[in-house]
Amino acid sequence: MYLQSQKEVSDSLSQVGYLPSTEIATAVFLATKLSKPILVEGPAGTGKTELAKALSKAFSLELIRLQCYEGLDESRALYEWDYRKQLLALQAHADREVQSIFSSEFLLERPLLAALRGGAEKILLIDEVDRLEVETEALLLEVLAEFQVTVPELGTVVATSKPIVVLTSNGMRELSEALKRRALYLYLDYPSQARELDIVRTAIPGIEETLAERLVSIVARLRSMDLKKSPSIAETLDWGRSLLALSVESLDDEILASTLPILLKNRADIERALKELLPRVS
Amino acid sequence: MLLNTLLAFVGALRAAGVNLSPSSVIDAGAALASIDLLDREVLRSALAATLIKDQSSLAIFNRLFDVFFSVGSRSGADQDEEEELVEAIRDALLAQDYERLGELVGQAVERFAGVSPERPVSGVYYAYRTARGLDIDRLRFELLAGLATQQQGDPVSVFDDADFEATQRLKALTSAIDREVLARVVEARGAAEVARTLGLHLPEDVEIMHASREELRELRRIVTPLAVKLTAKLERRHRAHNAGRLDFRATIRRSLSTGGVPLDPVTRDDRPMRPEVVLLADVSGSVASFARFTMQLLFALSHELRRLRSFAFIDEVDEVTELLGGGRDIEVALRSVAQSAKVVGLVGHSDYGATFRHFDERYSAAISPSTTLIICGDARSNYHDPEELHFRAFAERAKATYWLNPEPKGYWNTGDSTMASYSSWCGSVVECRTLRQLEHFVEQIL
Repeated sequence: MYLQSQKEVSDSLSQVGYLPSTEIATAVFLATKLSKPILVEGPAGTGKTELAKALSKAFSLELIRLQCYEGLDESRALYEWDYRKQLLALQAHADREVQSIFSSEFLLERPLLAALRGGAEKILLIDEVDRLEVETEALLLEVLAEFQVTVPELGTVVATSKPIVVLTSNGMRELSEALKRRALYLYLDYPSQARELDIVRTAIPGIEETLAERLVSIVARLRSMDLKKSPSIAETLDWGRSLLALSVESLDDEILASTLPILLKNRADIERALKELLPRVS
Repeated sequence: MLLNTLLAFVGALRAAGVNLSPSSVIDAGAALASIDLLDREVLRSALAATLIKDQSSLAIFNRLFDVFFSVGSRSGADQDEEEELVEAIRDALLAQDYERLGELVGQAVERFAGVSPERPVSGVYYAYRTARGLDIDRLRFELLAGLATQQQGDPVSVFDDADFEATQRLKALTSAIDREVLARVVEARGAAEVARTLGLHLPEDVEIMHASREELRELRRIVTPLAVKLTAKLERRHRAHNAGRLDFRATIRRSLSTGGVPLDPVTRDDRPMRPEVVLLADVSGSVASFARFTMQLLFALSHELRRLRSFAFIDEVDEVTELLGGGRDIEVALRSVAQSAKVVGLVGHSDYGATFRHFDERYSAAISPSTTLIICGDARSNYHDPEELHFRAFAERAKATYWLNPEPKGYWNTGDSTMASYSSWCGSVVECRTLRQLEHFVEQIL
């Protein structure tokens, strides 16, 4: 895909309701320029997976998703031979050459291969790479660096058009150097207050201005508190929507105390936050 | 020109301990060719995306980026009186007009800091002088008052947002001052020189005993993720260790589905031997933060241990296992160790001899031949009797005894350090100045 500047990325993403920071827009722009995957790390709920989805929407490209988990292997990530079909073909034509059943018509595409084949450019989302074992990680390397897959019986499948690859990680373990070296790095932190306010406004159109400001400022305070789990953007939005549904116009102590569990999911955190936010109540 | 700056920047990053491969430098060069170089934020993002590969080096990257690609604001409009300047800054902060703030801070630094190229200081001094010139305390007070009037329109202002807001905005001011000062110091003395004097380290390499408050905060934040990664690493190691040990029963069971031919052998998944750990930590002032990180790290790893008992001491020893456990927030728990554990006896200075005597008398049952004993402290006993016989009594009984000393090796046994009296009864004495060394040690013993 040809893009003029990071501004173009930023505009297109904003149009589909994903407000990117300069970092995000620049990283995506460079990914298309240098044909490199983007490795996105950061706390849960800061829009890592959402970025790939928004890209697919913004540029109308098909999104192919590979969800990683322990035990994911070649046959589920890359390709598999459709042995049932192969058996049938052999039975139907007994004189068939064995070699002929290893052709692309018997190949079952899995996400990585699917992203390379089929002509049109695609977005490939490889979600939660840190869940893979180190050994399996190597599976990805050929795809990420060369945009190709080698099938021993068939030869090398080279991408007809290079996909935009987004890898996400929650930092459960250190990713291998080999993988990191092949990717651009983007750390998605919690957004600045101003950007979060924009996000709230865009995602919850009905919200009142002062309430939105209040909301964002309280979330910012909570994040500065060293909690076990800080509230994510998704949780801020949930909170805003709940307040709207409860037709709350302005926050007060009581509403804050009773709706705090939408933001914080941990008892110790809630207690601590209440103590600091509302010293008089508790 | 730009390429030279890039290479000098890369050199400084490497000097600070950031791991940079040649291929990422090439990427950075390629990125520079395709972006708008005049937009500083885009430049920063592009370099970060190509050069940086993990979050822990981002802080250093940002700091050094300010050094190498700094632009101080140069507005000569110096007609404002001192008083007017302070007022203008306050108004800019109230209006959150950060562009104007940048200009004003430029003037303030010009006026108050008195930057001169001869002084070999890194800029903290100038920032301090500027802050003093602006009278930050008064500014904070006025900011609070201003914010309170702004919030008048709000129907219910029950939570004191103003305080938090004021802190946030003052932070914006101080970081603007820092940036501005840095830009001037760089102008006077050159980027490479300034980068050297900043003495930046990755958080894992910061010396815990000499860490600043900011650095300690950063360290506190990374300990738990570190434990998560360490756990993953340990589990992988255990798995690799067990691979290959045949589980005969399961193999036969599985072979039934292939007509009794054991096509697919099953290997045994042994539970690894989990050590039973007793931690004895000096929590006196000089080494308190080190003790804290050791406790926090071991606590976060406690599911990797069969049992973890923690004791804290200064010149009296007390068990703190209960305080740390119970699913409470570790921050709160560690604070309660300082408040409610009885660790101070007569004098309140570290007394290793008395501590070991008390431990031997009261808790010697805690040490069995299957215990791994970890002691952390600098062995600075304020010239009290080391009483090594008591130490020997329980240290010899343990399966293994490790002493973690947060001081550099060269300082051991100097002054009131009595490391030598104890070291012969320890399996090993480990120098443990940084989080990286602590992590390495824990990885070794588990």
